[in-house]
Amino acid sequence: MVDNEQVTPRGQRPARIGEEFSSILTAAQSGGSWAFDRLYRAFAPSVVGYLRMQGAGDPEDLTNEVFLNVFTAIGPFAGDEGQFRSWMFTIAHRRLVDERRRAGRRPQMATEEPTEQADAGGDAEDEVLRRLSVERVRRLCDRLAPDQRDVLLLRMLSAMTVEQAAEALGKSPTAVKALQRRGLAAIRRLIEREGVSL
Amino acid sequence: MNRPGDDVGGMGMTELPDEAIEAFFLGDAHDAWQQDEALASLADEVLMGATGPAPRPSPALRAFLGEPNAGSAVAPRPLAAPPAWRPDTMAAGPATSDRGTNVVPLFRRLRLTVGIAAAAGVAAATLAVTATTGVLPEPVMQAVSWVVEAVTPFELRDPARPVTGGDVPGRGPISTVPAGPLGNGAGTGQAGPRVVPGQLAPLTPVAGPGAPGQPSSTRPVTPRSSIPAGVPGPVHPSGPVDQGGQSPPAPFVSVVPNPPGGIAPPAGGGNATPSTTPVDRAPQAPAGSTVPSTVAGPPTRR
Repeated sequence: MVDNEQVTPRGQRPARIGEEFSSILTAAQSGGSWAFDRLYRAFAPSVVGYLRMQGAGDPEDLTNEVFLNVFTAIGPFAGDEGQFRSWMFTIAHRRLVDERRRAGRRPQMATEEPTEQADAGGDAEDEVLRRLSVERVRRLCDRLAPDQRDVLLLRMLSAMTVEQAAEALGKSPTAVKALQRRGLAAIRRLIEREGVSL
Repeated sequence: MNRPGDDVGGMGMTELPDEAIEAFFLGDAHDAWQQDEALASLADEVLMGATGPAPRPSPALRAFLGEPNAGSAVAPRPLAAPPAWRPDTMAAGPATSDRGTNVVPLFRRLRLTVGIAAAAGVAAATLAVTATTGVLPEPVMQAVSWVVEAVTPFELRDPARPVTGGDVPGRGPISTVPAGPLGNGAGTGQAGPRVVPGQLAPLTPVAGPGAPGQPSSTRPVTPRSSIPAGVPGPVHPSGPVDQGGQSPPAPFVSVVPNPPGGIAPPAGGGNATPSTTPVDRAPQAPAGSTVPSTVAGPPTRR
């Protein structure tokens, strides 16, 4: 069962599957729809959150595309949950880059339209808080260099290691470390000195 | 010039060790970041924005998830999906996918059947053509001859039988038809169709419409000058056949088109038994004579 962290208190990590991941992965590789459903419900919120904070034009549609790619290519995958998340976010990031290339635009602060959610009956207050958080992060990330934003969001949401992030972004681990350090410093400066609120 | 994200204030992350930064990203030491309000707020907002329900899946994705409203979308199978041990509940997919996969073996079977039939037809045709050249062993030849005679209007001559006048040396045993009366001019009663050497007698239907009981075949012809004019004869599809009088001894016999005026019956009242005269004894056609590839049936006997 997915940990009951869909609505997290501040500071907690996104939902994880845990020990069941191995059996769910095996079932998904055998074509079990229930396993696909479990994986989607566990990881889709993180992916769509990442895409929203990156300023994707249609994060929900892009999330669907990401999971179609993941489920279609899941057969040969071998690894634990952390590696699965890393692989999934790598696909998400590449789909995002593709979308930006197609659109020929930089990420923008688009107003998020209310969208249908898979889980009906969600708490309205949590939904409002989530939207506000996304909006604040997007406003802040828009002030960062694109590489810094990519590194910070990928590492925070996918729990990638430095090496995994370097591979996903096509950079060296040293470059990733430098980017994350500068990105965090810039955020602190923006918040403390320039009054950008969170 | 400063780029976005450059730490120009001098107060960078050099104060924080790499271990602390890693702990922040891995979420193992969140409490340690409470000392840095700005970064703690960032972490909270980012993680808060990544929670909540999953977005509504698209029709294609619903096919994967096994939801009933998947529409016509068909979920592609995962690559290299292993094992056959999976329970049916796990392998269950949309009905459309099962229906689609059943069509493929049907087409494969149909294609295989057509291929086998085509190969058999080619083999049979090749065997029949080979049989006409007479290179097959006698038992095979007999079998092929029997089959050809049974299923077609043609007749393959048994190579064991003497060569009839319609056969051409070196061309194999094609022919076929009982020889008709031949006016050889000698009054010997020997008759049979003749073919000019070098001309291949075609396969012709056995039961030709030329005359009752007489197959259409090569026609012995006497010189035109020997044909009495105006003598009526039975109507032949290729023209009237003369049943006129005696024909003079012919210097040679060839196969020529049925003349409009009809042709003479065999001299000497020769019967219509098949000729056993070897072709190589037949008179040679004079140079320049034209011989058609198809000839009309023999004249009727008187």
